[in-house]
Amino acid sequence: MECPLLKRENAEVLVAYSAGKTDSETSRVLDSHVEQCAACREFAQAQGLVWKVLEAWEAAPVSLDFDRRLYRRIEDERQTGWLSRLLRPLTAASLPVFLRPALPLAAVSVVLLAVFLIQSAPPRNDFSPQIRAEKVDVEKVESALEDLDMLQQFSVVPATEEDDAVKSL
Amino acid sequence: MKERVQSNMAAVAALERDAELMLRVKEGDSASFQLLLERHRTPVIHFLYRMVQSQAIAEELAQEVFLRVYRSRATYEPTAKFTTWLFRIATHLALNSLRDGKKEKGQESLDADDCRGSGIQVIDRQPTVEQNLVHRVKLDEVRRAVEALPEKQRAAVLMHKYEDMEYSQIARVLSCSESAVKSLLFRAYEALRARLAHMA
Repeated sequence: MECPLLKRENAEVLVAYSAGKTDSETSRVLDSHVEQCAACREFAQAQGLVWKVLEAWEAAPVSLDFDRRLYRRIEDERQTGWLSRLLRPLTAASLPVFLRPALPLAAVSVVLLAVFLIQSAPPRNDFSPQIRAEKVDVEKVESALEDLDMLQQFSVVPATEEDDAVKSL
Repeated sequence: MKERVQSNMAAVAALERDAELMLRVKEGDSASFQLLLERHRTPVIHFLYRMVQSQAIAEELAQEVFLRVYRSRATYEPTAKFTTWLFRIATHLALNSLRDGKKEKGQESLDADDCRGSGIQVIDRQPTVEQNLVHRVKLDEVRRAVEALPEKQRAAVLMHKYEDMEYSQIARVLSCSESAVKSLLFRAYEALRARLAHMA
């Protein structure tokens, strides 16, 4: 077989081989190769050492009250209101680390944006009579009054005979 | 070969069991949550401990992992292996914690580990003080060598070595390709071989 160390992809097989994670056929082929190839033998030995040394690193036992603490937290969560649960994704602890410094900045930006929007919003329509009077065009008012006068003149109806009879009563 | 097939069958059964338990948790069965906790508590804490190298922080992060599992019970769908999902959460929290600088540099001394009953002290063989000291020094070197690895390489090595995960599963946990995992592991072991060669 071609020496696995000649290619990076193949050398990765030696890592798996040294960890005993290759299938029986691959292991058999590599066994015979390693016997003949000094470089691969050295690689496998060094990798085997790493494996052995890592095995010696045992983790500490779990605290006896781990479950109790967890269930207490679950119970605390049950008792918190729906608003807290809803806002949880927005809390600093839930945000990725790189976003956390931006949290106060984002809050300030929201406030500034709100102030800007309030100030730049078009004035509300005010229907108070005073303000409406200010906006009325004086010329138009005059013209309207003249029209009314003219209409009044046209609306003067000549007195009929019936009207005279009524007056005579 | 027969052993490997049996081992694979046992692994498949275990995976189905996890998914089944989680689906029961979804239905409100708290006893199933306790079973899941019992099955995965130790591997998750040990993984986190080796990632952040502090028992207190590891347990704090593990609490968060299982709390998130519990919170997500209503939306859980067995689309991926339960352990992949679990270790994805654990890895995410560990990486965040490391980046956060939460890890106390002074961290727990080796004495603290011994007090907690670490398997480093083999009581049966009654090691001498000198043997203990040599062992501690070697262990410290291992810890430092692992700590010096880039975070993703470290996570990959820990899952490969201690959790016996396949490349494909590590790839799903780390959200990268299988070939990227092989490359990560190759570089990580290369660095460890160089750093730990003198311990032969």
